[in-house]
Parts: sequence; C-alpha cells; structure tokens
Amino acid sequence: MGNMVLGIHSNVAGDANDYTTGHAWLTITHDGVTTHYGLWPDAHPNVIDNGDASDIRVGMEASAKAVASRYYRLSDAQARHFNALMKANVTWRYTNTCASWAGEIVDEVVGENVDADDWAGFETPRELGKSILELEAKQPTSIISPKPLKQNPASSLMKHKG
Amino acid sequence: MKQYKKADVDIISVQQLPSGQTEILYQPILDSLYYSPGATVREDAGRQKVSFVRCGIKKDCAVDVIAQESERGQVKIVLPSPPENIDLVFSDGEVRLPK
Repeated sequence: MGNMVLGIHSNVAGDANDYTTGHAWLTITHDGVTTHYGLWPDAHPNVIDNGDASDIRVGMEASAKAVASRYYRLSDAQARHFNALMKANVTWRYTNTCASWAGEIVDEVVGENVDADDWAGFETPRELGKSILELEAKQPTSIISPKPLKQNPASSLMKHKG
Repeated sequence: MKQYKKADVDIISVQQLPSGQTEILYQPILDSLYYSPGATVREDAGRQKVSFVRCGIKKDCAVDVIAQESERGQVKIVLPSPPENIDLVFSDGEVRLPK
C-alpha cells in the first residue's frame, strides 16, 4: 500500500468567484492510477439519488480541471485511514459541503488545516481553493513532489518492536 | 438562472450532422450546486445566439434545446442550424462556434 499520494482540489479560488460556484474533491494516486472522490448532494441531476446511502461518489471529477491542488505523501497507516474514511456514510448538507468534507479529511489524515470557511459560516470551494493556493505559495507541492511525511507512524512502530 | 463565463465551458466537439443540424458536446465547470439542462437559442441578424444554461440543482430552468444524456459532466445538445451560423453567448461576451 506504500507510495500513495493524497490530493485536495478545487476548481475555483477566491472572492472573484460566486459564493456558490464550483466544487472541491480529493484524489488518491497509487502506482500512477488516480481515483477521484467527491461529496455530492442527492439532488444533483448528475448523480444517482441513492437515498440514505453515502454521498461520497467515486469518479465524478475525473474530467474536472482544478485551479488549486495540494498533494501529500501518505504512510501506510494514513492510507488505510483514508480508505476507511471513504467507506463512511457521509451526507452532503449545506453545513457539510464538498469543501468542508474534503478539508476535514485532509486534516484528519495528515493533520494539515485547509480552511474552507467563507462568510456566514458556510464552507465553500472558493475559500478552500484560496487556502490551497496560500499553502502552495509557502510550500509548493505536486503529484510527483507531494508534501513529505513528517513521520511514518507505521514504520516508527516497526523500529521499536523486538 | 445563471450564465456561464467563457472560461467555465470547454467545447469538446462540434459536428455537423447529415441532417444539417449541429451537435455540440460541451463540458461546463463542475458545480456542486448547478448543472446545465441545455441551452437557450435566439435569432439575431440571421445568426443563432446560443447560451448554455446554468441552473440551480433544485430549480427548473427553461431551455430551448434540452441536453442529452452525458457522462462525467459532459453535455450534448443538437441545434437546428449549421455550425457556421452559431454564436455562443456567455456572461462575459460572445464567441463564434469553434469548428
């Protein structure tokens, strides 16, 4: 499971975009293959309304163009954690948007805060995109040069065994 | 009902059909809260002015040309005119339909 890269993306960034515009999503790249994950409302005509099942959809963003992306190298433990989170039953709401979900996943898996808070307390793709660009300005990343691991919990556990 | 900006829409393909109609496959910007149900069309000085409609997901938006089934966010419409008569109208200007 090694060599996995987590990406967080938005196709809008900053106040030049409307409050409700755009979308944010996550990717996992492993051995050159990228899988896309996004949180979508059941009411969207481009998704199948699956009722109470999870609103995490796979593959919807495969043709999307991000204007802001950030990438993180994952440890084996982090990759397992991410995969478990993708199996969770998550509901899209105005208080749990694609942007808030994507930011929360990154915070939970790698511990970096990618802020998506816009005015009136809602979390938006444009604010997430702006935060991504601010983080990238300080420490650029790419899919081939992701933010490195600070510490690999799985390997540090192995070193202390025996 | 909103309009897209030029940068919000990629024209994937334009085909003139044997019937003389024009098939346009386009990809609007991915939106959590909007989709494109099709396009409005008006005639102006002999040209067809086509606007791709950007509709809130919980709204009903009137269109003159209904979008056909699409994948991965791509939208297909068929217009009655040949491609050379078509202009695309966006919130930030017009462009002649690319070939």
